[in-house]
Amino acid sequence: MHDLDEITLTRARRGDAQAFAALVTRYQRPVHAVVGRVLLGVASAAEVDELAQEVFLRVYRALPGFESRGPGRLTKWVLTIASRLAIDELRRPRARVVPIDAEALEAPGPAADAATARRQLTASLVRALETLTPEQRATFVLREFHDFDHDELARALEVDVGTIKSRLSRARTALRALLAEHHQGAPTRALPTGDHDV
Amino acid sequence: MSERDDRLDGLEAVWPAQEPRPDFSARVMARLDDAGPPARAPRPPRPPRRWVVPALATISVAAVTCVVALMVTRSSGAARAARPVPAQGSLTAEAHTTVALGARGVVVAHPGAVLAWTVDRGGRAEVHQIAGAAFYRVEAGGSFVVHTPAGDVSVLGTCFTVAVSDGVTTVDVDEGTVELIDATSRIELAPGDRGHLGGAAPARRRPAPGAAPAAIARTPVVGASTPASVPVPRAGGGDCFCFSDPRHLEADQALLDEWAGLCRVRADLPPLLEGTDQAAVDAAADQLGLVGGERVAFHGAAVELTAIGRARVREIYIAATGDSAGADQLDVDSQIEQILQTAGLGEEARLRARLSHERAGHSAPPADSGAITPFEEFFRLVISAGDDFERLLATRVGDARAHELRRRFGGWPGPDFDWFGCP
Repeated sequence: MHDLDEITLTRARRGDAQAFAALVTRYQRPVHAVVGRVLLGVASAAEVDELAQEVFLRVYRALPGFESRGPGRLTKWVLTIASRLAIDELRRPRARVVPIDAEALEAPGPAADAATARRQLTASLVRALETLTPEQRATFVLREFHDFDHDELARALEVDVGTIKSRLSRARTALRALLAEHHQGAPTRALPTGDHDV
Repeated sequence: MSERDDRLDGLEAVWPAQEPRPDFSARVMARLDDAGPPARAPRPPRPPRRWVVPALATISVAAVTCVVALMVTRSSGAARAARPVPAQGSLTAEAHTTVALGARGVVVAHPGAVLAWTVDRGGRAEVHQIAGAAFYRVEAGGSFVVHTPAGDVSVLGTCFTVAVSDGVTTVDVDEGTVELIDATSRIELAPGDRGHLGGAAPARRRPAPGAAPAAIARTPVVGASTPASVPVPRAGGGDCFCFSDPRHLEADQALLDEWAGLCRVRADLPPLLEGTDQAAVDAAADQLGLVGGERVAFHGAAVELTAIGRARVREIYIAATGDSAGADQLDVDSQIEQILQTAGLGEEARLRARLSHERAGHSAPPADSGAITPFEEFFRLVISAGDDFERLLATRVGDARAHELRRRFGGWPGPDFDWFGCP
């Protein structure tokens, strides 16, 4: 995705409310994507929303100190804040959240079958994620969905590149098994659909 | 294997992203009111204080600042000069009235303000502001509290305005720090903040710049080490400004027409003294490569224009407030702040529109100078300062040389005045 234009960014850094609202609008989807994915099975949709708000409050406070250098830098700065907050949230002791699929509660039929399959898949994903540490989850999400390279991940999460590679390997091993199982056993109609453009 | 090769296929379908709710942005913005202003970035070296520069920082929201500067530095300010100091007093202001609060500072009461104050032997000051608006400049000393019907304003800093209206107290902080205190909460305001006491909510604050539809920008310093422009994509919309625009003197008719459409006024600002500090003048002379007699002439013109500017600001202040005593007591930055506060509703934007169209040749300046408000007079002073400096320099080095020096970088070295936004 394109970064916010320099003029709007400059205004937002000065405290211009309209400009900051434009920044929120621009980055709300990737922030939700990072927070929601890292916290899958742990936080409810409402909690993800709340944490995403907190991300932008932190962005707002820190924005005057942000130094824009190069394309994509603001995006990755915002997502770094999001991932760190999500990691902190994941470390917090809490009850597990099991996503409820309303369709699955309806009468039997093709739609209910698909919903059930989706729910089973999500449950499998949650189980796979449970084997990962918060840092491994965040590393994987930023790498797979938001194009952070190894160096950017190392800077964002304040570890060395070797640690990043190790985390990614661990996460991929866990999730590759899930995907293989899913592709072999799940009927096509059970695949979740929707717009995943972030 | 490259970083890309080991991606997992089909992951997005399995692990979809949560979508934000449609009102997400609005809810974040609502929370900013409670979150306070953004943290301040490490301050760069403070720019030279020059009497034209302050306008950049002050006019956007008419919430004036103390960063203004001119001619009289604080340490030599008349506000600190010895004056008979009432230990206590009260005032119902029928016009702008300046009162010294012992050695603790100066208050400029706006028409309609009702104040009573006491300053004890230890320098502790208490002001009861019952109604109206008043500007305070507070000097260091003991505690300083402004009591209002909606709560107290405890002063930790130096420069702010308190307005009491309909049971709500509004505080704009220009410099230093103040704390708002009511029955349920305390909140600290930093420079640029606006806070409220009373009404439906407890003490609260919001960053004042957010309310400003207009904007002020300072373009980069032009010089050997700094590019004259920064390549930035030109934004669409009616109020864009572009760092890549040519400076004021390089604008052709088409660009002046465009700026008139944006109600945008740009001007180069000449180097002036801050108090007796000539650092800004030295920097400009360095950038122009001036040595010997020309450098002396350049400094002479700056000293002369600084003195003229100080005198003009004083005249405008008195015209704006009728407060001759205040002109003796207040330093120049405070005088400018008070001039800016005289702007009527929408006057700032209307003035920008008029000035930008004059610049583009669409209209003539007003024939009747008596119809010009002090607010307008001040801005005409600011935007003509570059021309004034060229004239003064020309008397020393000749017209051609002064003309050439000013145009070497498209205007005098230093920051530009850039002011935009239509009514």
